[in-house]
Amino acid sequence: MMFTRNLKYRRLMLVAVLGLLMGSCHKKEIGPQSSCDNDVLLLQGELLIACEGLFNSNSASLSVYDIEESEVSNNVFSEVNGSLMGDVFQSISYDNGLYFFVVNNSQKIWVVDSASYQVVDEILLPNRSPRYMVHGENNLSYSSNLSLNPNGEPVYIDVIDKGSMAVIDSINVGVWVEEMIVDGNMLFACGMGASDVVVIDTDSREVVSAVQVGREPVSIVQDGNGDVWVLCTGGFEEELPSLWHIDVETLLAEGKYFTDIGMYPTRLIIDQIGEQLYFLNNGVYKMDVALFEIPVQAFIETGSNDFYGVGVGSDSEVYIGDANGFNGNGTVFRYNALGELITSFDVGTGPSMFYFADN
Amino acid sequence: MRFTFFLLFLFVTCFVNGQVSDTLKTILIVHDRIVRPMVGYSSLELDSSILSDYAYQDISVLLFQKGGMYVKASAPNGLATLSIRGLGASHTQIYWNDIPINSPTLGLSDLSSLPVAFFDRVVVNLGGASLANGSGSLGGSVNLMSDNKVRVGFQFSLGHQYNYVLDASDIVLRHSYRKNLWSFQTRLLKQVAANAYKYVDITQVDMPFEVRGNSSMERFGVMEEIAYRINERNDLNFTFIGLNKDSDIPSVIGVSGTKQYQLDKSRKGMLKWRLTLEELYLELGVALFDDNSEYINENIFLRSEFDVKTRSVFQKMAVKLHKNLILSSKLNSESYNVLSSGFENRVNQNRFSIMGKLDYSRNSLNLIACVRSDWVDGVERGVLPSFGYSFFPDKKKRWKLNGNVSKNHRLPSLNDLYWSVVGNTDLKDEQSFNFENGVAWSKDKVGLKAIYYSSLVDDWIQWRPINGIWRPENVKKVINSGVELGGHWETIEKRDWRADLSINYRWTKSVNIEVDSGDEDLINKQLIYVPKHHFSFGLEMTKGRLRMSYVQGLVSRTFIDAINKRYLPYYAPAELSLKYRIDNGGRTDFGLVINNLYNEDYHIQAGYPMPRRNVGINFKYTM
Repeated sequence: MMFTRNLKYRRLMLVAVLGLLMGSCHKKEIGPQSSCDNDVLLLQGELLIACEGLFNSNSASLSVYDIEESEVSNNVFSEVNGSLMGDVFQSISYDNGLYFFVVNNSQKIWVVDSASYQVVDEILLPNRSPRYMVHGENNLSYSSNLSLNPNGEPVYIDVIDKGSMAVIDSINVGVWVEEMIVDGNMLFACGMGASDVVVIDTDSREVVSAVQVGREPVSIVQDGNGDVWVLCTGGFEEELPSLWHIDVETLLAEGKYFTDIGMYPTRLIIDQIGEQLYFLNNGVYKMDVALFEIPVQAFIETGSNDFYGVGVGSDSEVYIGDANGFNGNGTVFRYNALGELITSFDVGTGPSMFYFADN
Repeated sequence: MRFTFFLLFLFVTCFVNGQVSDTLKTILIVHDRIVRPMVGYSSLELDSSILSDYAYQDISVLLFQKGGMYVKASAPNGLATLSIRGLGASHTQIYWNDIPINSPTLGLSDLSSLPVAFFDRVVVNLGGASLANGSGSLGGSVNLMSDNKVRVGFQFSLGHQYNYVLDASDIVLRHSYRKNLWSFQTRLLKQVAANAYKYVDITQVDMPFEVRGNSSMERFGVMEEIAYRINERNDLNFTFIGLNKDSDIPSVIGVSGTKQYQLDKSRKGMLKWRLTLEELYLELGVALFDDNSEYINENIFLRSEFDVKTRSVFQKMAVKLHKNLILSSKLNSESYNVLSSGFENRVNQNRFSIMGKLDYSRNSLNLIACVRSDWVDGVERGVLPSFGYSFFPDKKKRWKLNGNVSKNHRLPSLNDLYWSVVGNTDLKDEQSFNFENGVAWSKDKVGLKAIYYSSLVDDWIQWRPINGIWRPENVKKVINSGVELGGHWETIEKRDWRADLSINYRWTKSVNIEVDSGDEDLINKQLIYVPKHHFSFGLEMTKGRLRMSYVQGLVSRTFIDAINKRYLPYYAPAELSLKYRIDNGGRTDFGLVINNLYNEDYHIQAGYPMPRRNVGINFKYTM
């Protein structure tokens, strides 16, 4: 009887000790981890790919692609700097040997050395939702912000001094602003929250004009003639999507509308000589700026893919990001100037923007 | 105002007079004899003695620690959802006294909004067992029961817990009074938490410790139960729960300065009449729910809200046709009226369901045949049959074999159907076929069980981007299978010394077997946030007035992307609690709870760190 009781006690203690040991095991990994490793770490690739990551998951990443060698390195930012990049990698811009990586939901802009990808500074933007950054005169840059401001609250474009890497001023534009371009001392900003392209004098830092375009202007580029092109999504079936041409001298705008309110065109880009416009509308569409006609036939059909970003290289090669439903890694398809597939490769989650270092 | 109501109620209850009657026990025994659980199906019941240890927690903590369930949580008091048998939160229906309470807009429940203190029992129905309450719980369901059991006379208890690491204070007050034909019970809850705890910031190069910000929470709740015994066979029950929660929502780590918060208001009332005869049980009831939630993000001036009004009518019946045969039925009708900032117009939906069940039992054999059908806005959504058995092959009934097969479906949520522009009214119901078989052995104070289950889910609904716009679609077919092993050992060495030990292990494989064209990489990949291995271990020891409880969980790595490249590492949080009781006319319990005993840094949801070791001290006075 005593033996049985002791045996029971020992069994009980054994299991208890095992449980305690199991719980006290230490581990090194904390938080999200990735099981994909790079064969090589490319630091000289000509193409930078902003991979948004999944919202609220800190999975933003930078992929770098060597066009000549057709090699890709993923998670370059984290591998070089040893920390996560943040939440929602929105956009890339370049100025004077530095890349500026706007990380939207992390409310910051990483300032990175363009040769080593090492962080040299970070611009913190608390209580902001930064989207895009453009660079103007006098060592100043401008950062746009997402805001739904239903009650007319102020919405700012922040003015950043690149000497101190700090916000020195904010221009209240009143609407959610997406992409921008700078032309001399004029800043053209897509007023996504309205139907205007907001024009700002960067010297006085005041809104000097609002050029009326279609509903939800989202993308803006400047062609080889210096004229501005603006793509409007039309909102969620609120209005037909439209494409607008703006003369930067007169600010006169001419628009053409798409035929189907169910369309949602985005990501307007222009080739490096400023002659051909490209945008996504399920497939990739291409338009000569000299022939202002909205194309009806896709240059590259989407097929079973889910095109999420598009970029055009110096030899008119087209790079398309496929988010793969945000199920994990994205895919980039590389097409030649005729729209024929050359190759494809895996990148981080949600490849949305391409930046060519030879720009 | 809140305490005025409480004092008024105390005043009223003191002046209720009449004759002493104690037929409740008899009614419950008869009720349990006729209204049977789903024999042959898997379920888990956590009774009031277990719930009383978690009175300061929400249901998510209880289900993880005592139910061995996988709970996806973003923070203490933050959004928490339940995954049962490898399926998602929307495949888990939560019921309150048999009435579905999942949000019809989201199709799921936030378990952190359900305080344990307001419930007396929690029943987890796994797989096909959930069909006893309703459809849609492809993984399983949780039934939160308020039993309204009140002792004769006046009862009062007051408990308080303070966690100094989280700066969290929880007060639970319970008062009941029963005299003659009336009984009353009031529960009050007040919780305030700063939740400003330290965590490792993995978004910075040197991984420093930071303090979690924008994560405070304040909640107040009141629950009122009134019962009137008409006679020995009839009784009326009224239950009301009111909850207000005001919570800041912390952002993913690495982000500072985000100001987002949510205000939740919930009012739930239910009136029920029960008739209990020797061979008949009948229950009729109505319920009204009003749930309101408002989310505000001050950074981008985003404000969204929804208001859901639910009217529910239900009927439950069980009749003994023969000494071996019981016929049961259940009818539910829910009418939803929803105003949401995501909808263009107010949305109404009417759901009606009917269930019939036959229980046959003879000697060592129990058989159940059940059939259920649902209608939505008058359109039938298919018939759901299920069949279960249990069998004791030996005379001593030490061995038990049980199993079931069932068909189930889940309706698209109102957000899936009607979200502005992107809602998809062409969505089909998700369909599932479920199978399980198990064996159990028990002798004296030792019990062991093993269950194998498998289910096939078709037309899985998922939101995904199409040309940059997220829309819900029926996209894939998923098969999930698993093994559940459990053991329980209760031993009493001496009169005042007692130990209970329980061990559970779950192995879950939940993979895509059919996907849309272009997504072939996802085939045979484990679904996100479904751990393959989940182990839990509990030890409870009591000696005299002292009780020690140790709970150890171990959740294996969970993938956080669908192609299984990114993952969260395993975590193994442990909880140790001590309780000492003093009887001095009333009863006073003093307690100490240490959560995350080994100071583990871990995330259950990617980018949302959980607290490191934290300690709570509590006391409860019962009169």
